[in-house]
Amino acid sequence: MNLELVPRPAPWAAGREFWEAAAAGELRIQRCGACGRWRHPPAPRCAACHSADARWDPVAGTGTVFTYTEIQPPVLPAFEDDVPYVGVVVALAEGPLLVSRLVEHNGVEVRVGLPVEVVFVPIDEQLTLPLFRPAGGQPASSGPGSPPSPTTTSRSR
Amino acid sequence: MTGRDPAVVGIGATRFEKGSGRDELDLATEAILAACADAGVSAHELDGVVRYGVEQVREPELCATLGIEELTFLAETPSGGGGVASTVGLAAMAVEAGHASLVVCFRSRVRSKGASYGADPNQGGRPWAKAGALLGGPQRWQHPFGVASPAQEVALIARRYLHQYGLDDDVIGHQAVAQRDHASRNPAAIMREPLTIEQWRDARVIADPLRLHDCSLECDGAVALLVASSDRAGDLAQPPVGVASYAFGSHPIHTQLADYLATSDAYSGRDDGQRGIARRLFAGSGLTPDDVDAAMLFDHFTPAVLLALEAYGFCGPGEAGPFVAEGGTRWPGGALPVNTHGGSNGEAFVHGFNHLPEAVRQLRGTAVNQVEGCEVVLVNGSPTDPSGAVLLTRGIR
Repeated sequence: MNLELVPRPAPWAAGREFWEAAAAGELRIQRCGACGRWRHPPAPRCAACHSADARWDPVAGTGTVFTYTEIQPPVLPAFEDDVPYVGVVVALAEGPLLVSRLVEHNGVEVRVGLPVEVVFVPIDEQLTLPLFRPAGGQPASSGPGSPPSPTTTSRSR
Repeated sequence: MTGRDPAVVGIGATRFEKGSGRDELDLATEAILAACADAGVSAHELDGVVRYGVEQVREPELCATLGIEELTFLAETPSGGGGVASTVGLAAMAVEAGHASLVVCFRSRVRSKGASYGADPNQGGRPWAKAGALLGGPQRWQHPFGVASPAQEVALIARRYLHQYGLDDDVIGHQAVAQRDHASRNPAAIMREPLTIEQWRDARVIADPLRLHDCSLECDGAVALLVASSDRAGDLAQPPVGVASYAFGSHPIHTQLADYLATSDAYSGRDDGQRGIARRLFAGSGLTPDDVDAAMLFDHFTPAVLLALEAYGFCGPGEAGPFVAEGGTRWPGGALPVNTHGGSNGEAFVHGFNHLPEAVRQLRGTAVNQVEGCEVVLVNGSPTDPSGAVLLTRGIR
């Protein structure tokens, strides 16, 4: 990843709690304060009971691959050095679906249903990305499928 | 007949090409004038305009350029490619209600790779690549993870579909091959080289399972279509094509991908927008999927065709894969020829709008890949936008 070019959520946009939690090494998902229904992406109302009350509950950070795609060019400039990489929709153990990216999957057959766990990848002081790796994952290794490392891949263009 | 039954009376298009060096207004006016010439009317007589929400050409400049005296009906469809058939539906509503009697629907697009200009992300190039470094919209839940382009989004939807029904990736390739075969006989098509399934398999992967040939052809071009009331249609140059039914609906859109996957029927057992549109479309027409002779199905990426075949009731759940692989969508010989002009990977990508004139040609009997005895054609909009569909018929019923 070209860390300087990674698109980031605008500070004024709703859902800051998600990113703040990630920066603190936690995965938190928005949940209706009245009926408890999970929702992601975040929204100003619960679609079921219409309550505006919301809380941000921690989730286990585990789930399964709901769907995936191995991505080749064209990609956003921030990710040009990463191709191919695997985009995923993760079904969290608690139920919500989350778009993310699979890392540290060397030697693992990527498939729908693959158990995964969250791994936090810091981009800068403001932004940490909750990415996912195969559950019970091996320690980070180099090469394709390894987690992007700020120290080795950060550079400007 | 009340005299207000809607009919398609004219079609027109520019040449489809890369790097035309022309702007959207220039292309739009050429296509609209071609549609007027086809119908035998003057553009001065137009009294209604329907366009996509993302269309760059707006009514005042269109009126000024074409000398349109007065518009009595103006409407736009939400978003982009979902609007293909909905434009005709809105024009038909206006005609039935008496708000207009000669409505132009159009789409003009300058999107070759080299063309990028203007302040709007929809002017040229790749709009997803112009979302910017600071994201305030729904893209902020995808782009930071490297999932940004429509191809990547549709790849995720397609992978889930293939998994759900245990289908090989090849099934989407067979639709790409069928459309390119259709395009090979269409002089207006950009891609006239036939494609084999082996070539599809070996082609560059864009976002697995999508290969290069599953993707639409970004190009420059405009297409226009005229809807008139039946009391005018009889006096015009072409045999009228009836608008038997139209329906609108809202899908979860692809830039909220998690939401799309969570709420679509094929994935969770809940209903999705396309199935609702299909129900209302057929209920309003007295027709059934068995009555449809050909379909022009939105195909920004070929998996969209398979999803539509199932949503509109041409195939059962999971059956579109085998249907396509066995040639069901090919002309000649297929049970339901689909995108007989070559579709968006063969003829051109005009946000799906070029599917409408092909439906009209099939019903006039003038298509290059003419379906014998073609009486009813279905056209739909994108399954990943707010959308709609229309049933067109040979003559007004």
